[in-house]
Amino acid sequence: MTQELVFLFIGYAVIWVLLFGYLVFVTGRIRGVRDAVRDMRQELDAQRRQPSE
Amino acid sequence: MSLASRALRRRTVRQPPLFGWRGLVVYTSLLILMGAALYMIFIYAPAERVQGDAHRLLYGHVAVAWLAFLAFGIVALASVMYLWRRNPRWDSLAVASAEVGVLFTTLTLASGSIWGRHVWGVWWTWDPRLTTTLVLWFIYVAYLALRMYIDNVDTRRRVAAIFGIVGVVDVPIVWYSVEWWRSLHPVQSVTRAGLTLEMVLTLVVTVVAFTVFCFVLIRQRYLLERASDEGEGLRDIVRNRHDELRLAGAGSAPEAGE
Repeated sequence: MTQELVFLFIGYAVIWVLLFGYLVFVTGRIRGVRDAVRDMRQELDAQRRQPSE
Repeated sequence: MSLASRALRRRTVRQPPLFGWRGLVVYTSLLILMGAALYMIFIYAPAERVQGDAHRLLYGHVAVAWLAFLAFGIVALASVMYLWRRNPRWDSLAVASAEVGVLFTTLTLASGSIWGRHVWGVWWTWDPRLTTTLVLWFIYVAYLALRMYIDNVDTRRRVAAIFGIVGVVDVPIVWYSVEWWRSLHPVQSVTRAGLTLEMVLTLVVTVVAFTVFCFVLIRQRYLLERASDEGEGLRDIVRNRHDELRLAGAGSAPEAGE
């Protein structure tokens, strides 16, 4: 493999790894935040249903 | 109680983004476009006369640089719309575009640096185009940092919107830097750069493929910002609810003891 192709490979590898890494990271965070939102809504629903209130 | 009920009725949990048939269409299109771009970059496009195969890196470099500019343009537009309408969705779009813009500027600097190491013999030089691009990167990193240090939501959104509008002034400076100052960087014009038809077609397909990827990223980041806002609102309600219950408990406790 020539030196030119090594630079080419490194260049595109950096681009792809960062782009797909960011996509996976953001999608994972959306799931985490939505799970937290769902838990909070369930907690509020449970509080609303308590007869003492 | 009524406050919490109203807030809960107002908020709805959305479906996970880009899943189901819509996600399938978007991600399949993205993979086809990316596959076509890679084929054209590595096989279809001819090697450049002077730079040889190293020139192929410029297709990706030009695409990510253009998308960094586009993302910062969206930040400015969304910031203007936020100041005008005061709708938090515009602020969410601005922060999503800013973060994606910083990512694409990072890729521009990294890919340009790798190309420069091969063609110029150095990883970095204080060329006007490189320097103004680095300044652009710092401006939007500062934009994101600023948002983290202002607690009041309205103030944060307003200050960030002004910052987002002012920051975009650096984009035309980056663009024209190769004409205004003596620069090592290749010119931004396709015709003046001496590209063949195959090279131009490869560049167009690469730009389209990366543009689709950029919009997918902005959309995902926007949905994350909206979900975070929703979570922040609900957290306040839960906290208020706990305070109410604690106060009610504290009020009834002495009576029970007496």
